[in-house]
Amino acid sequence: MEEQLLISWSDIVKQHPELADKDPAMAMSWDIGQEMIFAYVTFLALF
Amino acid sequence: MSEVMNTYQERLDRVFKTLRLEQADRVPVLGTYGTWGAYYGGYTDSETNWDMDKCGKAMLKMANDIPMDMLHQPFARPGGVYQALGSKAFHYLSDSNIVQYSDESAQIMKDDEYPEFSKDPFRFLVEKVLPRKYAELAKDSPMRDLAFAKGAMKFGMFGAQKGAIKGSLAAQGMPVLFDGIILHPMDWIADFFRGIKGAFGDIRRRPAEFTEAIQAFTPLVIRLGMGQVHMAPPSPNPKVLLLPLHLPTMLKVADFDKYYWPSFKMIMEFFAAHNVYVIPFYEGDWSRFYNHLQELPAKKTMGWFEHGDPKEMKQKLQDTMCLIGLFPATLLQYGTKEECIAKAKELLDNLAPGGGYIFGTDKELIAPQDAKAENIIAVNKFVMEYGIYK
Amino acid sequence: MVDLKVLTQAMSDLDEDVLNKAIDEVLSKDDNAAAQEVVKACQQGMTLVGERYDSGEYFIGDLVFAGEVLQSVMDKLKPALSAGSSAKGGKIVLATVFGDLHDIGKNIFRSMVEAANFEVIDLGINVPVSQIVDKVKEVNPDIVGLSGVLTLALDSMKETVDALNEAGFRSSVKVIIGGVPVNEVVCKSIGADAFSTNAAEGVKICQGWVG
Repeated sequence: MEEQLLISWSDIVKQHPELADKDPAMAMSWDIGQEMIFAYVTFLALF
Repeated sequence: MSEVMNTYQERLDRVFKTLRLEQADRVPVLGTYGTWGAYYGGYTDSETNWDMDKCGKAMLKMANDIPMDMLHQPFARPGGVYQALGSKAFHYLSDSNIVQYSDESAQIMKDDEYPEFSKDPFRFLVEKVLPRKYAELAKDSPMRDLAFAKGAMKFGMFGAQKGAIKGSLAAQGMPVLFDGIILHPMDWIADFFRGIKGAFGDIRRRPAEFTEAIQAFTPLVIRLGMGQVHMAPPSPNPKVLLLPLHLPTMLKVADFDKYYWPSFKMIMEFFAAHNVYVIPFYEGDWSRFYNHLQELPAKKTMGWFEHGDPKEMKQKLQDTMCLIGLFPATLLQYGTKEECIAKAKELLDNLAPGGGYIFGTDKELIAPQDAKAENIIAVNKFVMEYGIYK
Repeated sequence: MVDLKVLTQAMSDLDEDVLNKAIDEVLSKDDNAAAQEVVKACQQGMTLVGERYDSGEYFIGDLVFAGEVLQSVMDKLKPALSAGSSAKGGKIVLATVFGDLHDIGKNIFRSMVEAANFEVIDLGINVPVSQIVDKVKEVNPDIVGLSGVLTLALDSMKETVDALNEAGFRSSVKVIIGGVPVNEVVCKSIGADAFSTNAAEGVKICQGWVG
């Protein structure tokens, strides 16, 4: 099976069950590093 | 509070009140000045992309010289990032010319790659799109890895430098509107992966695949927006994202309904639900779609418009969204002060009553010849007097 | 035998499958005359496309696709077409002016005006003033078409018209400007003979000049 490029929300919640009832869109900032890399990659595909 | 802080707070309040469709003390003036600002500051667009200090200086000069309530965003692009990665997409036609995108570098995504794209769009970006757009990322490890890391460093620095510019502007009492930018998935695929020609062909030749791709890409657009929201410093006001739109005015309504509207509505509703303001730049003439726009969450989205009959727009959209823009940039370049002021008066007479209108140009000013500074100053000054609510 | 009326309708409907079948048939028979007829039928279909755009049924996206389809038809039939076979109406030198990279509108105009039997010399995008003037000198066109989307294109258009004047060619050509920022005021200040933001209208103007 292919390795995931980004940690999925469900995997984050597995490791941090306290986040389970949070809105993923707001709680993604828990791993701002991953969000920055995501923003960087998608931004590069944007021009 | 110091006088500067007072001014800063007043301007913020005035703009955000108007965005919420409450009447402020007067019509706010938004400085929609892009790379035009580089030239106003005595630099070229090119220069400010390599040296953010110059972008900052140019913006401070605009804040100082031009009467307004808010600047829309830092205009410089991260030249260092593109250089680190060996970008093929941007054309610096001459040192004194402005940066513009070219359709030549589209066809980044081939005719038969839609299924792969839709299966895992992020993976497709990393494995296919980036190496095709950036020469350094097409090389082998470790060249590629170091280039990627260098670009990331520059990207981070660019964000920090933009933040610093916003800070120095705040210290002069000038707020900045946008915290980030997103693109509609259909525009994104068309403008940057398939080319416009390719996309119009895809509508005819592979409609199901194209639709699926737009749907698959929508969560990434949302995530990009939220990422920028999280990266912006905390603020008592909602964060604001710019969403420049491209294809709709070129599509017939049936194609708009099938390909564009579902994702557009989804994106707008998502951000509205999370108290993030999204301001599309509605390029061209959107009068065919005003009824659609009435379906957007009321008072939670805004619109920067290029063309439109102010009376019709006010009548159709005043309960749904704050309207921004509509002042013709060509008049600022080719008209007299008197003509500019007369046009501004006409816009205010139709759009200002009850609030819900922010004065700005009909498009971002990008080239030095896009507007004469003395006309901008005169017309902004006029709006700040004539636009006072009694 | 290929039914030309069906082809014209297929082009108008942007139905590639019907057109491709007809092209395959013509190529398999190696019939030059038939190839000519097919091209003519498609060009007539292109005129209908213009009318459907005028009436508000088609939009830019459809025009761009139509241009692609017509180009593809011409490319496929090229081996079967004899050189200089079609009668030519007027001659147009066409360019997106210096500083501007946009060409969708220009290409739509080109497809439509070629369908109306004009010969087009398309210089492409970001074309320097001197290159336009040199080409006018070389081919002696009836019309010069200048296109642009950005506001800065207006300056380049003016410089081009001024240069044609200085070189002594201005009075021997008609100049039409097209694109997003053009209007009556701008047309006067640039010194062009006509302007249009609508390719089909632009074609009519050109036909009026050579007709």
